[in-house]
Amino acid sequence: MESASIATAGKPATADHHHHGPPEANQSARIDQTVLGILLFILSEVMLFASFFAAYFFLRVVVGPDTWPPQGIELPVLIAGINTVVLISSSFTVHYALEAIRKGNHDGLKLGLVMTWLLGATFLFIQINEYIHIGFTPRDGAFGSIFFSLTGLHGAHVFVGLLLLTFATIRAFRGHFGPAQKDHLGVEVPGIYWHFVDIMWIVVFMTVYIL
Amino acid sequence: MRLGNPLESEQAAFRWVIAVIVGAAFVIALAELVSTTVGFVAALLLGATVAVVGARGAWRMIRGTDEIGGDEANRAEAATPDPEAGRSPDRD
Repeated sequence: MESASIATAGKPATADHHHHGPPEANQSARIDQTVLGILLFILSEVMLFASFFAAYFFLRVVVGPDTWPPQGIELPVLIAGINTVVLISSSFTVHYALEAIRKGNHDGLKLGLVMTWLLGATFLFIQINEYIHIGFTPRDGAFGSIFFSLTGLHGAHVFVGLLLLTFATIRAFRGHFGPAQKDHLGVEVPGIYWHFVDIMWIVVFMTVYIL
Repeated sequence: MRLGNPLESEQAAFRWVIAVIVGAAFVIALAELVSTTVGFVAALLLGATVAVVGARGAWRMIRGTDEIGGDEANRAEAATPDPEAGRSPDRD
């Protein structure tokens, strides 16, 4: 299946279009403004996460492998694994929602968005519950600080994603979206953000809980 | 499977999710079955591969396409001011 591109969404396909002179105001001649906006946003978030990962690995090397995690601290790998399955499932449901609206299936869009929202909320609920019962706090040494910082940063991104999905879901129930890509960018962009959040959690889970 | 640009469409972003899941499963399997160090090295190698692929894709995207004006002909044309540009219709 060919994937439509956000960069060309809404632009008329004119074979004879020939541009003269410098680009229009506030636009780059080399990259579509929508794609540039998403690129800059995602890049800034990747750098933010990279800085937290750098702190994690620095502390891990400095503290030493024998005391990481410290004595008496056991991470709930099974609970985090279940949470990972929940979040991965939500990527599948948001993909289902978008495939549905591409085929003009509005009921599928609504169902997919609601399922994604519920799975995302379940992820946050499980994570908050994990924080309450984990047995240490952010003030308990370097490990506690970086654990809550890294997972909390991701949780904040999930919360923002839920806000975006809330807006998209409300608009979906109001019938705002259509099959053409330019008519469902309000779902496509939150979908891309949600996949980014899912990828970051997989990396966080692998780094903090497994390796 | 061509992954595509994850910033341009949700379908491409979803393909990247699948790729990361497969990569993570491979790393976790190595870490659990062989050793944590081997899993860590595998994660580093996969991460470096993703970084190279992503950087090359970003460079291709920034260089642009013919439609957006990224080739030499359009760059030269854009640098040459259009004598008629900005002229007020009432000037003459």
